[in-house]
Amino acid sequence: MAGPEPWRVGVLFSSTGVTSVIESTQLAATLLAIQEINDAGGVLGRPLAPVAYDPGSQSDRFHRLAERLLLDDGVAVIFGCYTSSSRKAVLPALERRNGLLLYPTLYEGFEFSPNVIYTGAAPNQNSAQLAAFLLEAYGSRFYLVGSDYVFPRESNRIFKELVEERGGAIVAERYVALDAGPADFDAIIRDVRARAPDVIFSTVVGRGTALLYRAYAEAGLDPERLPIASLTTSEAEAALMGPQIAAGHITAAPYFQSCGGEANRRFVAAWRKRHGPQAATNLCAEAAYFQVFLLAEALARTGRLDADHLRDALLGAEFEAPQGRVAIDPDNQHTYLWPRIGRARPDGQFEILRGAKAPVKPDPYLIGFAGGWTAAL
Amino acid sequence: MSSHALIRDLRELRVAVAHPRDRDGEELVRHLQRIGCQVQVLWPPPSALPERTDVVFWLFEAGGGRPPWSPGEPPVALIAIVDYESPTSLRTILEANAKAVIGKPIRPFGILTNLVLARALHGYEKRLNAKVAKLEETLRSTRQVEKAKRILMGLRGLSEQAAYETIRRQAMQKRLPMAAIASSIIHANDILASLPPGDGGA
Repeated sequence: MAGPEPWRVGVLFSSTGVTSVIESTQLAATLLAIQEINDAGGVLGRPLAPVAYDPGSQSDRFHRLAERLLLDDGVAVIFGCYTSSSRKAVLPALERRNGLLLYPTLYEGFEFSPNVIYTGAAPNQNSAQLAAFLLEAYGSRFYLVGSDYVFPRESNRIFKELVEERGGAIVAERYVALDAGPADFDAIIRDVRARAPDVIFSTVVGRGTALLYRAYAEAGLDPERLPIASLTTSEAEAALMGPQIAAGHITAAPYFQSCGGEANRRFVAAWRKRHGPQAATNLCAEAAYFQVFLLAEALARTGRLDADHLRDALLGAEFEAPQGRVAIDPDNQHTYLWPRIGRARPDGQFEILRGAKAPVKPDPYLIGFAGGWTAAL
Repeated sequence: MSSHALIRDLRELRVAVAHPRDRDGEELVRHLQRIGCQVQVLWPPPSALPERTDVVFWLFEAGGGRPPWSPGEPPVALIAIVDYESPTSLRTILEANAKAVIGKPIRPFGILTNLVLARALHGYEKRLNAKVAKLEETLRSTRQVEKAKRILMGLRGLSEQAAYETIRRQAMQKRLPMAAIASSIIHANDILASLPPGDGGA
């Protein structure tokens, strides 16, 4: 006997390619949330049915698969995208077909599309806090290294402004290809030694992350004196490179697995049940997880799976996420989040050094400090 | 203005929007607020812009009126909102000296770029115009001084250098620009030249 007709939703995260390590955790978290919703009876008695494709970490495939989802599969909502290039690649399809993307990744800001709900951090929710912390704790000379695409270049521009606004200096700004090899990172570390900065700010993403930290460790540098600071190095990357190699380095994120709270305890327990007792959650998986619940609750209110109704229902929606209570800002469709600063421990988890006392309003067009962090602490 | 300053200033910009408060108007206002601008809606179209406005978005409707400064230079950076691309609308926009254009229906993408571009172009044009005005002034003054020098040289048999020094000394003593002294010499000479020859001559 056929059950009730499911709500079909699109899912676009890469299981293969350069950013698959982190994207597959976003995929897993999306599917976990869908499973939990369905186990609890679905939405208005109907289950969510994911239609998932693997874009292979390639922007052109993101574009084609988004078109396929919206046009051939007839879905109106897509959970997906990690890199900004992939988000930019699906935007035209979303706007043309009036689809709605829920995007669970921190990014560089300066974007608003009526067809996107942004559930990762904007720069005023991670970069501003990170720059302030690093200037206080380590010093004022920064070495910037990033993968060569949109997010690192824009993040570095923002970071540079933040650092210079507080009297710090950028001693170098270097980019490596997304598929850079060990030799490229050895060269970076040699250059770091030569320039003797106080902090390395890294926007290297994907496989390069492990290579950078490994090259750093092999060169015998000391994270207590000269840490690598990042917005993207999470528990997932730490596990991949080996927690000993990540230990001592700094990450700013709205979520770490070590956050307290009942919602997080449940999330981590469900995650471990699926992926084994050693499996770790991370900021991108957490956003991928909670955004499905936000959508499901909106869908329960509208009873219609179309972008316009769901957007209206999502604006102002709140949810008790693992990181704390989050809400979609009706002004800009980004999310109120809880900035935190974490230091990687040898066991692959992060010690939380600082955390916001209240969720910080997203401000994707903010440049420089706005006192949000200090006000929120 | 540097690109850095143009982007940083977005947060303090005072933006006037001459567009009805309909769906398009609301979309534009909301997006400008997201960017961080201070927005003021002016509808029906005003006969003058509020003081301390930095940028104006102005709706050019087919058959609609033209902004108060048109034809001529807008007082602030002008971004045209258009729904027609007919020769008549194009002429209206050219006469109003728009620095950027957004089309209807209004969507958020592109507003920021046009905002920055319009301010950059308006600022650049203002600087160029100021420079041209200054250069014209300098040119005029140089011509006057040249002419006055020649008068002094002819009347008193001064060398060019001595004629120049005379004008300069006078300017310094009277705290006037050299061009002002030069023009009084020219005027005096014109008056003298227009008098009939006197009887004091030999």
